[in-house]
Amino acid sequence: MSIIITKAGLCDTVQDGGRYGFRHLGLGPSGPMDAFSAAVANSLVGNHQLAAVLEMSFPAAVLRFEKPALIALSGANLNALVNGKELSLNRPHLLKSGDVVRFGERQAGVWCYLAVKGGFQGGTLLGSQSTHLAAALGKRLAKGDRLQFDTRNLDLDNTKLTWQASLPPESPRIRCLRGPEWHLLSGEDQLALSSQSFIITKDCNRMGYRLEGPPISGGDAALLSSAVESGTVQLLPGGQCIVLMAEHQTTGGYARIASVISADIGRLAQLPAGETFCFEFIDVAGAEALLLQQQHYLAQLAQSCKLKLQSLNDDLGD
Amino acid sequence: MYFQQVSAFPFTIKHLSDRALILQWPAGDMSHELSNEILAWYHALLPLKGDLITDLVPAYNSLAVFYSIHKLGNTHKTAADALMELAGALPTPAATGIEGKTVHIPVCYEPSVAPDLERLAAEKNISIEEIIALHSGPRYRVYFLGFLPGFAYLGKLPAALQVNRHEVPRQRVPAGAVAIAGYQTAVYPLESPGGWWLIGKTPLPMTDFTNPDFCRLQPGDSVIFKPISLDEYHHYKGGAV
Repeated sequence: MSIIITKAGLCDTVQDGGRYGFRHLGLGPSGPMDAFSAAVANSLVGNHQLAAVLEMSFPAAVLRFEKPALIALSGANLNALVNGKELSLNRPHLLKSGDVVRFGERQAGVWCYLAVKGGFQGGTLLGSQSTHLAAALGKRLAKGDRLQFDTRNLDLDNTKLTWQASLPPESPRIRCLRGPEWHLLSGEDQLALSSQSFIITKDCNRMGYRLEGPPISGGDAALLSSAVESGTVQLLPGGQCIVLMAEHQTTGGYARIASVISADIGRLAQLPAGETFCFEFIDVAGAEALLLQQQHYLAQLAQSCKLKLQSLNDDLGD
Repeated sequence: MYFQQVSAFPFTIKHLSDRALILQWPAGDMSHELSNEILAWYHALLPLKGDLITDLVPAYNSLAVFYSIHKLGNTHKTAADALMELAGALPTPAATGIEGKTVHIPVCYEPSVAPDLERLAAEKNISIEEIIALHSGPRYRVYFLGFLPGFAYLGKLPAALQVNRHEVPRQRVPAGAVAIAGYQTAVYPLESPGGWWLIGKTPLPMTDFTNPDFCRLQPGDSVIFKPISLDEYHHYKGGAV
């Protein structure tokens, strides 16, 4: 008994850090579409970064809290309200038993993350709570479903929850590496990929995002199946591309012409249909540095939030 | 480069992503010899999984090696260099060899459970009995798993049964469908869309997610299909993964 879904959203699922180690059996890790935002939400409430969160997109569920909870929202701005009052992103909020959280129109981004102090405690399959819709591991949340969490040390003063995450600035481009089949492309096509804009189409889901852009040739030749992963940009017959996302298949037979860097996959996932962007090709060292920088930011955020929560608990005395 | 010196099959190492390398052998047809090589590397690297290496994905002519960027960071090496240093300490792939079990999969080859069986017979101008004999004859190799959890790519299908995928894939292929395409055969472990020809059905579950070893088939295993009657299919019991 903790949170009850009183109205289902379109695609609300529980995601933790992911289910790793099973790719050789055809099972990819799944996990959040924007792992960075999920980690921010978790850090704000003192959770481990990979704790289970609720991932929502527009239109999102209506949630009634059946017991008090310390929550935080990060990622997309879906105009969250609690009992009619604005529930802002990137800061903790203390909710009471009976509080109802609703979401309105999509204002920015696509995937919104709700973290609750203690993390959600749902069914674990193969060591993870991450829903993998394509593999039928877990499912979209439906009306009447309940999300359990463990409440401890919630005797907090709401007015003292003053911390918030100020997010690092974002690069205007989506950085990527050249893919294993980059060499199959003509010079003109390679140039087009690195200089022209691409549009996010409506054909996007947790498996992959279809793009619209300058037609690239070379996608018609059938290749032997080979491993792919999140961020892999596949060239489809017909000249358009698809970027694989959280619930990607573990192998594929299309040319892998690029790979979005780990640090930017979440940002790409947050681009809505109709949005345009450009790729920027960088090298592996650059990609690693950006990921480590992002992880450093998250570690600092987690540390500082933990200290603030700790000091609040200490203030209450014993 | 160490690998290339000892390998009879020269390959390149590229980045699949900023978290994974891919060992890529030249493109060609599916071959048992190349598969032996890839699976030998797969088995040789498997004991290292859980530390620097987080996952290994073999395929027809490649082996993807997923690694932990944190563990790598401690060494100040590039991923490719770190991997090759690790490999340098391993026994050579030829010495490691392939490990694998043989799995018998009961299959009912009846039109009522296999919607493409009669069409295939007409297409190839052979009888259903001949299809059954051809399909259930070989000992197939599990080249790798992909596409779906528990979907094992088996080869090599006899040339007489070779067909291209359907132009328009089915929206729903049922779990347990035994299918063929190209030189491959497979069992669909879950209901899913699919473009392969459905020539049989097995009552044996291919996956069991309550079990950490949730797949009946692993890379390098062998599969033999055993024809069963429609009656046996409907009354089949047992067969835990």
